[in-house]
Amino acid sequence: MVFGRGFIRSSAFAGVLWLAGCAAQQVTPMAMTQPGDEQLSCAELAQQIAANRASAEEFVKKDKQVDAANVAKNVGSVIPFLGLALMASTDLSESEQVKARALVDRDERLNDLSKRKNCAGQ
Amino acid sequence: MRMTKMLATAAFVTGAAFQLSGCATSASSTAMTVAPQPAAAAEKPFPPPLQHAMCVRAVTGGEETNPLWVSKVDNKGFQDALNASLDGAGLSAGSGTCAYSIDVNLLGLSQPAIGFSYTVTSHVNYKVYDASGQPYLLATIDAPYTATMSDSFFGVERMRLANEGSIRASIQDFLDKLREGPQQ
Repeated sequence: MVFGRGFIRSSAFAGVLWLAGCAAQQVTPMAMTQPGDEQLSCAELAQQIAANRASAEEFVKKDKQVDAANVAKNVGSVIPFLGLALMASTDLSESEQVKARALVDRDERLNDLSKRKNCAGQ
Repeated sequence: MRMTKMLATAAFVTGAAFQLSGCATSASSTAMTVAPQPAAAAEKPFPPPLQHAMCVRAVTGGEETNPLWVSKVDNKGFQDALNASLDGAGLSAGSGTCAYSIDVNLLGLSQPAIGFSYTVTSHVNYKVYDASGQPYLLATIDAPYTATMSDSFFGVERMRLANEGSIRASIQDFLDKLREGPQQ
């Protein structure tokens, strides 16, 4: 027999990964505009802006962790066979980055509404 | 026998590595450009105030491609593609007065790590402001595009094609929204 059992198992595992494909994680960023935005009071606007800012900071932190993990996986991808599994588990969805940036843009919109409603003095 | 096994293993690992890594290249602006669509323009023209009155002010959020990693979309490539698409649609102000400026924020590209078919989804915020600085259109567009093995056998190239297709689809969606008039 040319190939050992271990080789066949590893190849099959790699093949399954290959054939199945690892679809990118579904990411739904917060849209800049939301229905009912114009009806928000100054207090509601301020509350949403603060909550979005806090969430964005959390996503930025998580994004850095994902990036660091990806670098480690990329380095490990040179290991025969195990490298394939590491490569397949790399997270290229940019999920946290997308959500963080979307929240920053959403806040830009809410700040604009806040300005138009003269909320600063309230 | 042992030599054959080693050669087979080496061939497999090399093939897999070549398929997975290779040298990644940045998305091409030409491939991301939406071609002029005379039929669509005749059926539903853009609002007259927008025609020959738009310009791209800024594109942010893009990334340079690291050849040892995966293909990405950079700001200049996106801006060139958007400018060319606006030109083709008759929206670009050219050297004339820019009455509607466009800011683009590329939130990110959701890419798969491995697979036969690569589906990339671009997430982009388009912000169009009128001459007084008021928002004319604020749109968050998620645009998926799938590149298959028939598009390219090589993984790095397939990823680039998926990126380009996704941005092209995003710009197409943006143009469709412009046809609808002001939205915010």
